[in-house]
Amino acid sequence: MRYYLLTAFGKDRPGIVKEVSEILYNFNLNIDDSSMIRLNNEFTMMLIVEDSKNIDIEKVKKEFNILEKKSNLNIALKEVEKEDIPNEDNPIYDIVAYGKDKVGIIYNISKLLAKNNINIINLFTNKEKDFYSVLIRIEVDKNFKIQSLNKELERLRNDLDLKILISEVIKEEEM
Amino acid sequence: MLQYEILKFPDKRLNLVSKEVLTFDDKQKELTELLISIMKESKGCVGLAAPQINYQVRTIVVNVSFSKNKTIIKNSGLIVMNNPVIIKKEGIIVTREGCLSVPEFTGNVRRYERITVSALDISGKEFTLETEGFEAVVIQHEIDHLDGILFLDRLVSPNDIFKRKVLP
Repeated sequence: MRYYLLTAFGKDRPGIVKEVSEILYNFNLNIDDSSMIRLNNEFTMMLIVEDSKNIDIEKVKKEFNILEKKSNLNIALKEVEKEDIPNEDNPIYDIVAYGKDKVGIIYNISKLLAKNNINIINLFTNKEKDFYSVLIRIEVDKNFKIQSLNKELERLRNDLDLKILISEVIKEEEM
Repeated sequence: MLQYEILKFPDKRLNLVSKEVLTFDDKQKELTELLISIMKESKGCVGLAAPQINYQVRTIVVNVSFSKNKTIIKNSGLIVMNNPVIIKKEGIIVTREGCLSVPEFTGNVRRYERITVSALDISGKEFTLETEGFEAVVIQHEIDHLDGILFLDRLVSPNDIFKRKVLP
């Protein structure tokens, strides 16, 4: 089994997902995981595709090159290693921050997370006029003391004049 | 030792309607004990129904003693129910449910908040249990398994099904 990361984006219009996925379908490539979202008026796609038939990827690339020119999209395809996500049992937290928009909100929060060796799983931002909000889902080591992060977030709250909340994502029990 | 297989969605056997327990022999006791041990060994498992391990009989086990769920009101410890029937129900509660047969995915489900259940215990003796909150939710989820229904069939909103690590 081979895996590829495909990225594609272009000015939004109907048909982008169809055009990209049609090529994948024709080569029997399965979409394993994906994030497709409109940012401003650009439609962006990021996909992990799975190749179980050991196909000639150069042929796929050629098709995407044709599509790129014809449809005015930016497309890239790269082989990636498929690995199981390590530490599935690590605690997960959501950080929500919101307030008046300014340069550096993401930088300052992510700097704090990076310093603590904390991994970001997902990050979503929203902006409406001057109001900015960000939702960051993080994974921390089992032995990490979340209180220490709380203290540092408190400092950030004052420096950036933002509301910053953190809450644990409790794993639903199975029944 | 009884053979078993944990059935996972979309296995069609999860949609079968289970048969009533009629005899309380050693085999039935062994099945009940197997259910209890699988529930115990599966991390974060608060309930299990026989059809989930490919025995289409109306036996469920529930234990919310170690649960972290915020909606726990009553905890009756280990509960074994054969041929359970809900005889009284009231109120509505919405809980995010997970299922051993639908690994990783979770969704919000609407259930009765307070229920009274009539059932037979491990030796076949009739009893009734009044419960509420999360324990009542788990019992309703397990009884659904006996009727071939998964929580996926009862989502409050059809677009409310996602993996733990993915944001809504």
